[in-house]
Amino acid sequence: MSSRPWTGKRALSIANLKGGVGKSTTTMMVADALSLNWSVRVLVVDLDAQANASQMLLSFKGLQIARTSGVTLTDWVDSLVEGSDSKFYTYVKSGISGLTELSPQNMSQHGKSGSLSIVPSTPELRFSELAFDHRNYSRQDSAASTLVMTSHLRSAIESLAQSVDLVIFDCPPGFTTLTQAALNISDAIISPTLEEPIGAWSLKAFRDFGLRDTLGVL
Amino acid sequence: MPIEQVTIERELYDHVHRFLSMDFNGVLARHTGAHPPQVFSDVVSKAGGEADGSWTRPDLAALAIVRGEFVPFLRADLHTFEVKTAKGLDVQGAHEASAQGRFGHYAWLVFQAVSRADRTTALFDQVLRSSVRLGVGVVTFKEPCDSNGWHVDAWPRRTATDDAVADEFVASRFRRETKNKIRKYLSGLKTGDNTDE
Repeated sequence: MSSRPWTGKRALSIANLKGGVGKSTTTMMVADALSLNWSVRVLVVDLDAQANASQMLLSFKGLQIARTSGVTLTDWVDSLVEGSDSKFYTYVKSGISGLTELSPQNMSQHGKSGSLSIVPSTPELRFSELAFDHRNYSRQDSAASTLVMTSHLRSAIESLAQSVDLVIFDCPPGFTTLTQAALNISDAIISPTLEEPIGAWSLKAFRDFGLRDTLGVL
Repeated sequence: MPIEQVTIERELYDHVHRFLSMDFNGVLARHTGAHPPQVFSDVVSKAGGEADGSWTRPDLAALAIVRGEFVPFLRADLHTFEVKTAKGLDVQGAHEASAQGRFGHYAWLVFQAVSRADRTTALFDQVLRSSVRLGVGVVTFKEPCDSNGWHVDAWPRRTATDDAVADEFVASRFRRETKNKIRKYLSGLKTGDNTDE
């Protein structure tokens, strides 16, 4: 296993307005490759209520266990709505790599090694996000909810600064509050695209409408 | 960069809690060679219990639940943790952790191994020897933020604590949110949501 030090970005969003372009697959492949070959400690945060990345990384059974244990992003957003002071790291499922080399049983406790963790999603995330938006809605400021979520997500990621080398946000299609918050705090964005006219149009819309006009990050 | 020595014990709790949340299941899995257990942890130093007496108050606790997939069993082990700064460490810490172990199945002493408590010092050896003799596990770290640097120096022996005592400890010391997570997980086991079928 390589032990090259990771000097790359801290937060990466995999995002596109269009669905079915391979965002979750890209997330999984990048996470696996960096944790195995570069000894990077990767945390995937699944922002998509479809929970595809969560199912791929945890398996259906593992996701069920996370769900019934209250260890999901949905539970974290619920805790924000309830005003609880729960720590973000209590929603992290760690040691979840399907690669034999990275399974907890096979890892040495000495020295630096890569690892893979996830804050999984569930279909109920859409309702939790709606509740969060409702709570933080302001008639005077349409971006209020996004700003509050950005602040929470930034604090959450910063609290893991020394435990995780790279955070990958697997964003849902469209432009949800969580997606906007993730894009706001990301150092880089990967936008998978299908090689077809509608794919190019959607990438342009993501850049112009999403990143430039809405978030002003371009 | 020089390692910062933390001098206030309470400032270490958040780091230990993060270690328990993110890494402890992997640590247990490495030790047993079995699947990682489901771990629920909390800072319990101020919650419930007797009004005074530090020897009755572990700083943190973790409930590790593991279920057999083919050989049917369900085991819940309560781990208690006494945290010490390098400055506050002495042999008494091992006795304190051991005394707190009466509430759970495994007792641990956790401390920052720098300065006078560095692993090259006589104090480190004394504390480690006492801990091993008392059946107390020892976890050390140098830089609390660096999860790669946390190290199990000694494994605890399982105590004969009654499960009902451990259950009462969880009921009276863990936060409501954490207990709700445990309840949800256990009810998932009953309904079969957490099984292969």
